[in-house]
Amino acid sequence: MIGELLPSKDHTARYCPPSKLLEDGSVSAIAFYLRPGEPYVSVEWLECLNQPTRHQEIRAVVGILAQKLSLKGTAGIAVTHIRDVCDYVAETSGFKIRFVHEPESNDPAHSGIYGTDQDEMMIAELIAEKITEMHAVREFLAD
Amino acid sequence: MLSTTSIAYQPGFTGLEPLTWSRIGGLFSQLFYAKAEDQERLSEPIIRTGVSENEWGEELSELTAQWKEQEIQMLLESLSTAHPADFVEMIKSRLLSLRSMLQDEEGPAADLSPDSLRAFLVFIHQLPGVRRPNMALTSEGEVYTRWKGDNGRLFSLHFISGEKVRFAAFRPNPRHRRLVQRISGVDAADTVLQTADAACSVLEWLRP
Repeated sequence: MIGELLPSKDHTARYCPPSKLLEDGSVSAIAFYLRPGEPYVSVEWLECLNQPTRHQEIRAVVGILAQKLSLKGTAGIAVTHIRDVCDYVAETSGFKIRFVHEPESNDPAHSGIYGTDQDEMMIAELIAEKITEMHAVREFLAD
Repeated sequence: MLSTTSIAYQPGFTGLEPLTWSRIGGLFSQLFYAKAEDQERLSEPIIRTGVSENEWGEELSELTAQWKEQEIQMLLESLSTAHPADFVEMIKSRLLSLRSMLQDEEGPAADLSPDSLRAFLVFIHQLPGVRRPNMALTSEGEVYTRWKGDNGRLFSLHFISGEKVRFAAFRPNPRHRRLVQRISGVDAADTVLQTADAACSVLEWLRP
């Protein structure tokens, strides 16, 4: 439902284009920056997709995003655990961020991270530290 | 669990700076951008000496693009003075590779930001012998660099326009090893190193 907080036990995925990935394979903080005019950082709510495995969740995410973006094979999909991220950001920086459901007609799992603009660089670095999984988009484009 | 300190610096430039060629180039390109933007704002073409404002606008945009291309090349060349050749080549090669990725993602008009690149050069010239940073680009072509060390050490910089830099620095608390000190803020490209080093001793681990 629009505006509803996502369950804290759930996970989200963020598309990270190649120019936001670092040479060591990790995700840069700027992958979690707002683009000009954006009110929140767009993510996909994985459990909303009702898939049996993480691999299938990511495949579903890639399928949805492929309709909206020109996906690059060398891009990555970064997965984070909602409670881990929110708690970590709050405990280490004092800032509260929220994961909110923002479904779209062609993207029911679409959600947003609100509050990163309080100290974008610090919060983006902290979120990047809490990435638990990275998936290469190329694996799913080939599916 | 962890303690934190988050401070925001908002200093401007405090003194008159000498006008270097690079700075003059920056001012010139700002003038071009401003004029190109003015042209885009004009919705009605006006006939003046037989050339419409739209045509002037197109020519100006083309000149701006040419100037920007030259400026980026000039800035990349100026990287070679303060660092070993292999360091310079790796940085240049990474920037060119990122530029190509950005154009692939955002369209052919997307490019490295000369302002950001200039701020990055001002910063990196102060750090001879430093480890090569990891680098990425924002959607606007601004340079982001990050060094990571042991035990949660991190120093990251985002070079924005006007020689300003956003930065974050993390290090273990020297008196409480399970805690991490974190600072972030905005500073000038030529003073951010002092600021981050004073707060988080980044120079202790940036060199190999």
